[in-house]
Amino acid sequence: MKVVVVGDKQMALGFTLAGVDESYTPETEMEAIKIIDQLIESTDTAVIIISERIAESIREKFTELKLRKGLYPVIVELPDKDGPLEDKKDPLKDKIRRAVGIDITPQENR
Amino acid sequence: MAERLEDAKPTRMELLRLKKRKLLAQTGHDLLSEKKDALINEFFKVVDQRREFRAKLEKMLSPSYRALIQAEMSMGRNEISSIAKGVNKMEGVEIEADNIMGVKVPLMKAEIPEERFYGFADTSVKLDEAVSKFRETLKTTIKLAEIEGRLDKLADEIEKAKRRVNSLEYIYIPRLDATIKYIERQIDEREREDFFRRKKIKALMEQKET
Repeated sequence: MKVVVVGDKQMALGFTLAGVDESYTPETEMEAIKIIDQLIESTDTAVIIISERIAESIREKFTELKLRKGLYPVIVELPDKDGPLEDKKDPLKDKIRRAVGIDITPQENR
Repeated sequence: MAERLEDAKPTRMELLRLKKRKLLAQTGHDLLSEKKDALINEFFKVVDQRREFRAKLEKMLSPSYRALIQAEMSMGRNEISSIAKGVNKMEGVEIEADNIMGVKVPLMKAEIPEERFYGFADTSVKLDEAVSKFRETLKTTIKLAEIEGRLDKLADEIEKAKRRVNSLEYIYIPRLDATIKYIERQIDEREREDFFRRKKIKALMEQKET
């Protein structure tokens, strides 16, 4: 199973030096969407490392694409060389809130 | 009061059947809510782990990028790109599915290569630094990927368990209760009618005898 990185040039180069199997440096949003779509479809990708900036730029489509995947590939969003995004929204935050946040059902005191 | 089941006939057989079903539903509800609690427990652990690893990783990333950019400055990006072509790739990751309370979660093993894959001549010490830093980063990233994958699956499963518990608790069981009550009332009513009828007949017969 492969580990794939999708990011800017530095990110791709750095992780390639560390030994990841494939790297992509999409120039446009369309390109990024296409690449991620293919990666999710492929059966031998275990981890997709994607830069926050790219993920954020295609957030809507990205969330939609993520619904299609099973256990693998796992997608990790990492900051690129300019550091973490200022107004970044945690992609898992919604999920966490939905899983435990609305637990106001009074079933425990039955 | 919840509405009762449509097709329930007010008979004793049906009553017994419904009582059995209610018992089953109750057991199922208890089991499921225990599972849900256990999952949430596990979930919180994973959330803590994730926070820890994210912080660690974000701290590791910027020195890694800095080292790489310095290496680029001293050797040129093209040089590094061509060195990167000769990199000894990791052997991919081995994936398995771990099992938490019947939930399949990812489990990954990765071998990151340790050897040097480029010559000492023409390469800067900054490149060595960048490579070793990125290897460390990659290791942590894969660990983080595992944790985030876990979190994702657990969250899905908790939502599902919650929905099941709620539908049992607020719809299915109340409906059974309502039906059971209805049947009991019907049977009681019939018994009272019977009782009254017997009394009446007895009175009639006594009247006849005298």
